[in-house]
Amino acid sequence: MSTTQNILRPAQRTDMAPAESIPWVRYALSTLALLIIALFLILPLVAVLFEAFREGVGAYVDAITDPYTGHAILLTLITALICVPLNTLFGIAAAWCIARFQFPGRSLLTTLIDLPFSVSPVIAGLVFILIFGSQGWFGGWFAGHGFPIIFALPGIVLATMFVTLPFVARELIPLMQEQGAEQEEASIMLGASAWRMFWTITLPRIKWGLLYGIILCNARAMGEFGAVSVVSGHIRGATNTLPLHVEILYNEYQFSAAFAVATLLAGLAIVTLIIKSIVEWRQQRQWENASS
Amino acid sequence: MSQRRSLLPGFGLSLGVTVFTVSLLVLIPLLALVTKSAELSLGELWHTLADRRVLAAFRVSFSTAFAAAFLNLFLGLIVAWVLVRYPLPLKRAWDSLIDLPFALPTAVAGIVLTTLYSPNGWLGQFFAELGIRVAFTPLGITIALIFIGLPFVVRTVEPVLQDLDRQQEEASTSLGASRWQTFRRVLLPPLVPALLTGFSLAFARGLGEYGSVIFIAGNMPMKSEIVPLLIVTKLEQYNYPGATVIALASLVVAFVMLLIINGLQQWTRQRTGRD
Amino acid sequence: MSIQVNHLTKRYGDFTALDDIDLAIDDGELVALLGPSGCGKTTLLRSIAGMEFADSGNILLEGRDMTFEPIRHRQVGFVFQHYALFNHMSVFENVAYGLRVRPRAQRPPEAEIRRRVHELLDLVQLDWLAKRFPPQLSGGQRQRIALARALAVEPRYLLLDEPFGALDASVRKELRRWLRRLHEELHVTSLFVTHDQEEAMEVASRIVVMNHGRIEQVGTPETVYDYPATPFVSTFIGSVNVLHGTLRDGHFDTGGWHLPIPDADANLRSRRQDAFVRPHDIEIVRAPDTPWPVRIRHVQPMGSSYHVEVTPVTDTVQGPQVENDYLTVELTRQAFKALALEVGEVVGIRVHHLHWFHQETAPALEEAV
Repeated sequence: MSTTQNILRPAQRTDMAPAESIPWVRYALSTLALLIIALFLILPLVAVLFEAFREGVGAYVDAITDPYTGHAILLTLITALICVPLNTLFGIAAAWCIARFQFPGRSLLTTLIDLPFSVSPVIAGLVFILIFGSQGWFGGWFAGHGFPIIFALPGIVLATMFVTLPFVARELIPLMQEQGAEQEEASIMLGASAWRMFWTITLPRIKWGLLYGIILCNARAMGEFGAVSVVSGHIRGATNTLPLHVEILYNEYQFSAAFAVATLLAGLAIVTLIIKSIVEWRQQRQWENASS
Repeated sequence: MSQRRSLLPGFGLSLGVTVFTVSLLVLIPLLALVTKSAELSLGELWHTLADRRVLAAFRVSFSTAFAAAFLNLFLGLIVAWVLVRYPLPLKRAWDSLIDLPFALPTAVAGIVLTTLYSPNGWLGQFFAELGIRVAFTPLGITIALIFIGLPFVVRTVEPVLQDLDRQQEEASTSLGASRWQTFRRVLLPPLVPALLTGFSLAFARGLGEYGSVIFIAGNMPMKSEIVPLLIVTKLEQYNYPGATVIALASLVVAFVMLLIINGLQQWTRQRTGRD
Repeated sequence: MSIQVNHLTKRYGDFTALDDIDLAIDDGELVALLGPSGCGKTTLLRSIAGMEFADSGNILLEGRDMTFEPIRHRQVGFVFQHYALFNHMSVFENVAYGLRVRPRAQRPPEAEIRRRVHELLDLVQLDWLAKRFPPQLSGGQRQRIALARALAVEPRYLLLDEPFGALDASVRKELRRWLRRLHEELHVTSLFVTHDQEEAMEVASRIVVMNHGRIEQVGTPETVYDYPATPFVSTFIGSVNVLHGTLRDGHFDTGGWHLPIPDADANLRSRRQDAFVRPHDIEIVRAPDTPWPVRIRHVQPMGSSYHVEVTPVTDTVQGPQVENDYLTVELTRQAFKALALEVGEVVGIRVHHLHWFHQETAPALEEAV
């Protein structure tokens, strides 16, 4: 599907002179836009904090320091620590072959890389159950050898890798296509080995785009709910990630505790957005340099 | 052609890694979905899909995803328009916040929206006074999907707005058009493909969305049960064939929708002569 | 022979980029590959560099077959059309790159690298820019840095792809002269691609004219200009007037005009023929009984010379057949002033040199008439 174009990159900002328009239209639209932002984006963030501290700081600290919460944090970190580096390597490899070479099946491959964006996370979880579940193709074999995949860490990792697969590749492919191959060709012409070329030319030129993709990949890996929920089995203290822990607490009517844990994830989102803005700013400068 | 010999190194390695990973994570799992469904007879297939509860879930998912994506066309256009064209204090911060739905885990979005829109919540109480229930109804689902879909529309429209040629507007004004006419006839046509793209992305995401919806939906069969939840329910009942068939059907339907929208998009592009 | 290309052929799908190319280049030559875009000149250059691989044929460097040799063994320095400078490295690091990426055993010590880089930057007269970054440089400066970077690895061959293509006209003129002087100093065998015939004439010691993946002519700038081997070369290099007519009895006839041809060609068999005349090989005369009357249509001052467009004046229904219906005559400033021509007036012309090519498609006159 060509519809999944690179929507993750916001427009490059060139602050233009204020459009000449009727003042009341401008004020009305600006107010409306800020209202939409406030109502749909800011209010939820404020509400998370408010609900988290509704029963006081003590209850908040208790919820955060609960051993089950600690285990969920650990599991979430482990999952991200496995998925993000693997998807980074995948993204670089995919971008290299797609942006630098012509080969039959290239556009099919691009479509397949995009596919996880348009598949429901629940279905992403389901397919791994079909393969590795107790009635699945290989599930019996793996479980029989003491290495269960579903309702265990490997399943969580697989489901997370599926939903985060496109992030780094989608960021790098348009960037590398835009940059063109000339500098890499020049590097090879000057006698550099493949390895030298990658470290001295390719990587420095894509580093901001790469970082951007990694941040988004990480946010999704740590926050994924649907796909992980299907394969994890919600075993407290064993296969419970942070988002799943939020759900369990909420469904047990421990609202304050649920929101307390949710502040951790909201904090992750805020940090992600901040780093993202910085990276965007750096990247924009780099693009301006490259095109000047 | 002469791919076997190229100046740049690493083709074999990078293609190998890519194809291996894509096969393992995407191709084989989706094939599993298809082959598992194919194990069912046509009768069983029909029986599963024609179930009233299943049909109702599809109706709920489609109508809410469509309504949310449609409303996002307007909300997203207004936000993008203001962010690109008007001077605003703290513009960078507002702009960064647009991506919050991408970055905020869906479970968090789900519980906080539920709390806000429940009958005694900050926003829900106003609706309650008007006699409107938001949480635990399709309206609540739509609200959650608006939250999830907003950045798709804003982020696809922004770059196009950015690139619009100011001189065309000035030309339109100089030829005597009113501001509304200029907007309708000069500005809107080039935005249509981007709006359609944003719509289809938001719609596709809305069809599959799970985390942010299940809390606010109330999940009443026939009324506010969405397709992804139905799949999970079937799974929890160990009804794997049922889950698989519904999953495949929703994938197929989603792709058909995307194809239609894609075609529509190309058609508008050709008509307006823009790329 | 320094570079020898034998029967090189390369296709992209249905498109033939190189069609059985043979070419030999001597040590220390400065050769231009000249042709319109899509003629295969860049493909040929990239094939010699080892950046593209032909379907058949081979390339010998110093007599050794290098067709399948990796780049690093070819000792080729390549200057890219858009320079391909590493934007994230300083000018100094750009030039040093080729030395730094050598295997440890062959890598010169740091002090030697510094000395070499500064020497090269001196050579291109840009040592003062060593700490800058490429985006901060002007086009001409980038071009010279790209050249210094290519020379740092002491290549045996220097290959340049449209080296002046991306520059302003004035900078381009200056850099052309500079490149020629640099070549005289270094004497490294050099090959550059251009679509600009003036550039090829000014810089190169030999020109290879290409069209449709084939070599049309190889020769010194003088040869290709004065003795073009094919109709394509005569129209591509310099401007030319084309006359359609017949060769007969020691004359070239076109619609009532009988233009004399050199005695050596007087016995040629009669046939239909296109003839080519350079604008400066036509003289305008004020003779009362002029055999070839023309009317002045337009006068275009070109600075040092004047281009005068004239249309043939004739009584017969079918007059002289001139392509585009007019001839361009180039006059020196003095000649133009001396004649004091007016638009609309009728004068005579005298044709000093006219050349043609044996056209396989042109039927012999006996058959045609």
